[in-house]
Amino acid sequence: MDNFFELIFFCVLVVAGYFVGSRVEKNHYRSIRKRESQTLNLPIVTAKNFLEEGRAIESTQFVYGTVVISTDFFKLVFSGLRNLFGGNISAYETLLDRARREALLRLKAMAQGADLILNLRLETSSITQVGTIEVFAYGTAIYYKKT
Amino acid sequence: MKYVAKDIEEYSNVKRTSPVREFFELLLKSAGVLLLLYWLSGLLVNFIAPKIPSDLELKIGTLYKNNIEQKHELTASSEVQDILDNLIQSASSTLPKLNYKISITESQQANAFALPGGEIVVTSGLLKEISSENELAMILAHELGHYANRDHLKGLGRGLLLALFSCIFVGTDATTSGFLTNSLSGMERKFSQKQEIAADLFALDLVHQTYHNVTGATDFFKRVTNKDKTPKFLYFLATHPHPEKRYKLLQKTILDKKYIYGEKIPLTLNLEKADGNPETP
Repeated sequence: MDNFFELIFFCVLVVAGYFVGSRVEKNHYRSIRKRESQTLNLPIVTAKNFLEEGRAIESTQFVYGTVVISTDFFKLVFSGLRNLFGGNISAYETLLDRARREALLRLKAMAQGADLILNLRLETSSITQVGTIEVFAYGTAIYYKKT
Repeated sequence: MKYVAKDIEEYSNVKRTSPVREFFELLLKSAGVLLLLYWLSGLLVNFIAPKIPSDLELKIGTLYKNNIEQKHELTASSEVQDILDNLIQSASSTLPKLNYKISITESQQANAFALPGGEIVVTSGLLKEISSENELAMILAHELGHYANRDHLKGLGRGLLLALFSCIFVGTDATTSGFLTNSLSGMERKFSQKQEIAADLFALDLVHQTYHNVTGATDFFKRVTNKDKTPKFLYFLATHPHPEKRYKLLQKTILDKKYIYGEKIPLTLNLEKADGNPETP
């Protein structure tokens, strides 16, 4: 009897996780795409030196963006099943993709008015064993002298 | 080099497909693998259980006995023991050689269960409900049926294998493996329902063999059916079949085998500890 209720509870969680999770993901992607096109004019490079020749630098600043993102129950179960057979966990790919892009957007938000971000690095740490990660993006913002 | 802002038109890192289809594919595959493992372990257990010698079963039984004795106060009853011995005598060829013994435990709930090794525990609540010796004999014969079919050993073996599976799956992720093994234990209950039916049929034959009639054999199930208010669909995942189902099957078997009814033997029990008498041992 207990098992019966446990099973029903589990299924409800998976279904709710799917619908709520998909909705959240869709909204997040919409917001990411919007902000990405808004901040398109600020280039980010991983090179340590990518300065324009002959331009004087006004200032530099350490800039970073951090985001913590968690999975939903559907993705969790999905990945659990995937673990038995191996292969591509597409549900987690979107999750991490969102986290990285969001971290970059937050970095750009911190670097407002900058002309260039140099030496971009991304770091990831997992907080719980399964499902919650932090993505940390950091770099050096360059502000050229206005001519 | 001049930076030219360019919007990403095609993003290759994320596929825009629905994971639902993939999810169900995975679920079916996992279920398939589990069912196969479950089926194989069932074969293995059914192959091994009848080959386990009685003295090993007796040793396993002592483990259970100690555990039960820590939780329950058990008393012997010579009247019930006599009924049991009677049944054993007529079924001796089909039963493994164990120390069959009756113990009574104080409990309001009407229940009887058989421990590995031959000890059958009957609750005082059950003895109070029962109206005739025939009815009690049917219940005891049912428990003997579990010994004859070696259901304890099978249950033990399946439990061990199930625990092993869940250990393997917990290695990956506790939530999903919990769900999968939970579904398996649902199957396990279906298996147990089958065992109960088999024990019922064994009991009916044994009662007939001992008393030369089947009077009172279905009384208990009839009474429980009338009392049981649990919705029937919940029995899908129960360890025992719905009492009405058992009752009907027994009735049908009685007709098919042309078993006859005779006179009921009244039950006279000398229960020392009556209900409402909070006598502490």
